[in-house]
Amino acid sequence: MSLLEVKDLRVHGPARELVHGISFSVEPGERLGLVGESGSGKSLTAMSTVGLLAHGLRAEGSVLLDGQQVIGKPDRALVPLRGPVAAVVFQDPRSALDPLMKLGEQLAHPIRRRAKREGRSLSATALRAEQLRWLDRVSIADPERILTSWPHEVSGGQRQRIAIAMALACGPRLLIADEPTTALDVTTQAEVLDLLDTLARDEGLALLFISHDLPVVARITDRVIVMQQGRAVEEGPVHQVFTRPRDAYTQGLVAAAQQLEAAVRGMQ
Amino acid sequence: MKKTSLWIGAILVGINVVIALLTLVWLPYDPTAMSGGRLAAPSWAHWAGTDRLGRDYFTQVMIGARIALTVAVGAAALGGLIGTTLGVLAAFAQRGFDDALAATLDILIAFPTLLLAMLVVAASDGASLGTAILAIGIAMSAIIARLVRILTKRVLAQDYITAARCSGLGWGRIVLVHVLPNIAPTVLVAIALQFGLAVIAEASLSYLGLGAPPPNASWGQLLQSAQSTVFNAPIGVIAPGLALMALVLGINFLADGLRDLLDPERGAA
Ligand SMILES: Nc1ncnc2c1ncn2[C@@H]1O[C@H](COP(=O)(O)OP(=O)(O)OP(=O)(O)O)[C@@H](O)[C@H]1O
Ligand SMILES: [Mg+2]
Repeated sequence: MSLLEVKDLRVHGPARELVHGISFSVEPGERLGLVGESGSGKSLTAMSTVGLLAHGLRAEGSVLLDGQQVIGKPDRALVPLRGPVAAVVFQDPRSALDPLMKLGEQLAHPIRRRAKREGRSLSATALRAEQLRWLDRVSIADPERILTSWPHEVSGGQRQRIAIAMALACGPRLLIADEPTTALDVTTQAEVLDLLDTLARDEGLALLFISHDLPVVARITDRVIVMQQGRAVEEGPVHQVFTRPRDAYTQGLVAAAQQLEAAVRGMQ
Repeated sequence: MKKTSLWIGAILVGINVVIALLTLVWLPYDPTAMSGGRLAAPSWAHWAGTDRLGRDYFTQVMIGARIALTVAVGAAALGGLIGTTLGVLAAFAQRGFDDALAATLDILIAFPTLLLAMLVVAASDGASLGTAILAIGIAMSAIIARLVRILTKRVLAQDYITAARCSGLGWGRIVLVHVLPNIAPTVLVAIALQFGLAVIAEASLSYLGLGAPPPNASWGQLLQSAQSTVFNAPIGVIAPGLALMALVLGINFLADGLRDLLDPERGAA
């Protein structure tokens, strides 16, 4: 059974339809990329799959998350469904963490929630060990100090790593990453991408990876959907879409990325 | 500078609180008994002189501090509780309810507190401490609710809220764990500022006879009854007036100092 199965998903805004019927599925452990220009509906599509659209937006069609219908369900019914299945990481490291809660406490929340869900009791020492283990897994140096720090005391890259740790500490099987590296500098971006790549492999996670950066998507995903103005214009294995794009829009995107790369090489 | 205003405020408010608490256990004179000549000038025996019935005036001003603080604390607690609840609900509500509530709050804020107080008094059996608290508290709740609604929406729009929801945190926990702590500093400062307005509102209501009835006279009522003898015995207006000013000024200084101390943006780097 697919982990996520989306059929003819439409998202209605207050004034008009924003996503016009998109279908795809994600198997356990599979990595799917969503690319497309700004405003093409990538985030709306991704958030619809876990029933987390903003107020005033309405989804239609069918979304089966771990076999259960998401569309049309009240939020109350979705809370227990989402927790063990999906988690999400966003773009902006500034709003990825609660500014008024120490990092250790924030990280403790998903760890406790998972323990409770699995019916385990969690002693203070076990909790601390888990916290340190997660910080270690996202390659945070000096984890002891980080646990007692405030979010504004650490860098954007570190915040993004902690947000990833919090997302994974819940034990999801699908990680939705909405441009998780766009706001980071190039070096940090590469590090965080490597990290996501490794973690996803280790945990057997499925990835729904959103980006407008083709090379980034090519590097981390197996299959890709190209979106334009609320529609999927092309879908297929990453190498095929990027080496032999069929759609005119995709051809444009690929050409632009190639030009950029050529320009960079020319400068070196 | 920040610390200075906090200290001045704390001292002014502190004096009022101590006096208010003291009146519960000790008073210089019986506030209802004749203890000196009529309209006597201030002296060692009567620090603020006596009123036209020969009762010690300082005693009455002391009691006034208790009335003022009781009404302000009551109104702040009521307004803070109702306002925060309504504001959070509105932030979560569907468009229709949210719009209706926002319109109601705007009307309530535009509605004069005085008129509201008269309605409350008319609806209950006569003016009392309770009616003053209720009227001022309702007026305050509208202002707090409007603020809380906006603050809550701002917190709910943050990515960490969506991330927490996705990993299985329900709305109730979101409010307790993330929303309330994040809006608390700003709301507390707003309540503290409202607190000063509540003291003035209480004095105005009792000046007009819509506050606590005698002998538990508030400053507003003292001002009202001293007004006809203001030229023979100016202390009758000066004493409650000064007390009122000191308390309101103290509260505002304290609120300003608190705002700097609890700077809600401290986390935003
Ligand atoms: N809450 C909302 N209310 C109304 N319209 C919205 C809302 N959120 C998004 N939209 C509209 O829906 C369209 C798609 O938005 P979406 O956020 O999915 O784009 P995106 O592909 O993720 O873009 P980006 O790369 O900039 O993040 C945009 O035109 C946007 O203006
Ligand atoms: Mg987006």
